Amino acid sequence: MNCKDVRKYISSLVDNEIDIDIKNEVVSHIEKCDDCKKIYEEEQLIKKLSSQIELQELPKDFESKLHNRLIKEVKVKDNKKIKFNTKKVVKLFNSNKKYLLIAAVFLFTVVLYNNNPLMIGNDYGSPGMKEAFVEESRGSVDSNEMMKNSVSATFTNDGGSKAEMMPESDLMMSEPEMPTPTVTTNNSEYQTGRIIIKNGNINLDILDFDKTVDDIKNFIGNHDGYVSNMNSNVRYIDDSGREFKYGYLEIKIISSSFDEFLKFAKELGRVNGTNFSSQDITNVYRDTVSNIENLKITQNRLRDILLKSTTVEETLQIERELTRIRGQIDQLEGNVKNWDRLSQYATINISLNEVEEIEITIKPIDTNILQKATEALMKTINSIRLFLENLFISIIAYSPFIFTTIILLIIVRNLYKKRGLK
Amino acid sequence: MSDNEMILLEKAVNGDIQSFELLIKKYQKFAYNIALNYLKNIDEAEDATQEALIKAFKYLKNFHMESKFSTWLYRIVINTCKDELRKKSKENNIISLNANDTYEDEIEDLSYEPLKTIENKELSNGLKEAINQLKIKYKEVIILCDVNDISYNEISDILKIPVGTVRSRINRGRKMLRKIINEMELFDTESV
Repeated sequence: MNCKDVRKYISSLVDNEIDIDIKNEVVSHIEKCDDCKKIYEEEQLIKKLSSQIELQELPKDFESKLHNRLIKEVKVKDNKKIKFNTKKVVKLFNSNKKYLLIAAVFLFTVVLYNNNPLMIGNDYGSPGMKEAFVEESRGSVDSNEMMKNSVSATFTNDGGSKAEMMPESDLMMSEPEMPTPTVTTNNSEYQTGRIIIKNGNINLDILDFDKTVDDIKNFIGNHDGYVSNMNSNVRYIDDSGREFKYGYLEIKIISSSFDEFLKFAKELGRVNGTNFSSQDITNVYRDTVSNIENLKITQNRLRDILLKSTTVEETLQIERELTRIRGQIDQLEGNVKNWDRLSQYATINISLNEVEEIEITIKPIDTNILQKATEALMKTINSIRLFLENLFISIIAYSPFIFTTIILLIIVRNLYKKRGLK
Repeated sequence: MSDNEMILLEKAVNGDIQSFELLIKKYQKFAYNIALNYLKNIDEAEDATQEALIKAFKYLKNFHMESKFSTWLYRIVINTCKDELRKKSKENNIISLNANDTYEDEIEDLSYEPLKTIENKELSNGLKEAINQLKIKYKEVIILCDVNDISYNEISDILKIPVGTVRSRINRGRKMLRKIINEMELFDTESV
């Protein structure tokens, strides 16, 4: 190795970042060559001195400034998260537009064919067709229940027949009576730490106003609740002198008994209307809590500074700042307590209306879910079948036109070709 | 990374500010000094450091332990500073063109005298000045390697340049330093 080569490696040698083979060569050269040795020593000195260079101290308020900026950052982040999710959905939609479009067009066409008896009414009405359907389902399904389904599915295809109306009205009636699923989801969310404020309205026709109010009071008394507001009025007095009252109750009940109470309330009389809402305040709640924590840190810091302050002016200034921060903490803590209370107790408004008699509605016996599903499935399959059949039929029906057009096209093309050749 | 740091990191990823502050406590002074070396102005360096630390907090979930945490953090600081410099040079093109072209050419020159006795404090101050005269690409490697004792591999990671380049830049940087120092007559010039 000559001096030029060695000098390339001197720095690496100083830093001890050198392969062992090269190191040996370089070291043996340095021992012999004074110039290179000089350079090596100087560089070693530079390294030694550099490591002794004192680092600049951080500016005094560096950490508190950073802290404040970080808090801001966390807030912005939380807001962005929500926006980001909606963006994602839109993006997903955009990227799969084609497929969605095709699926939508297909479904739309099927539905259109299915619900428009005018267009294909001729095929529909033919009894032969109907029989074929029944036979088909008989072939594939054995049990009696399934048979019924297939029949009703066939009727459905008739469009506007009564058989189709039946299950739908059935659904409509059972709808207001099943708010339970929503409530249960809320419950499970609450367990995983979500903070939810629940509200409900229920409107009832009842036979005996006073007795009902007593019932309600008894129930909520047993479930850690209370009546927060109540009024009652006389609506009219009938010939026999009986008073018919109407009134309004606002009750607070512990959130976990919310759906139990609703179930109970529905059995008191006839339900005219219900309305439930739940407000999720987890985000605001958490933000406020972290705000309080941060303010407390600042408060402690200020206290430390207060101990160190020397002049009266300084002390006063720091105390003023402390008072301000304490005020903020108190206010935020008040909010949190209020939310705690609101989420612990659900509010339910009950409107009661006393009537002479309640019409007894006979509940239709609920067909089980599996049955409904098979029904729906049959419906869909039938409609797809029907669609394909109609498509086939129309192709056959229009085939003379199609064939003639194709033949004509071929002739015209050939003519053009021949002319072009000539 | 110690277990303790791992726990802090995990908490910080989930948005815990205090954990993040504890995590960077060890590094922030040095981060600030890196920024000072690039920006040379206390206020700008402070701003850039804060900005970089906030960026680090924001993108902490993107740190997958493929390098040391310090390496990752310093890289952010350096990139932020470089962005800042770029912005500045756009604002005043002419000045920055001249500001950086000190000692670019290396000169083979062995005419200076060997170094002997050293007044440490004075010397390290002089050295600081000398380092400040270097071109930024030499200065950054020298600062990282000598002042902060970071290995070549890590420097290559921080600056995203090959190890070979780190090696040659340190070599050239030191050569320039020797020249500047000898011109400043910092070292005792009496020969042995």
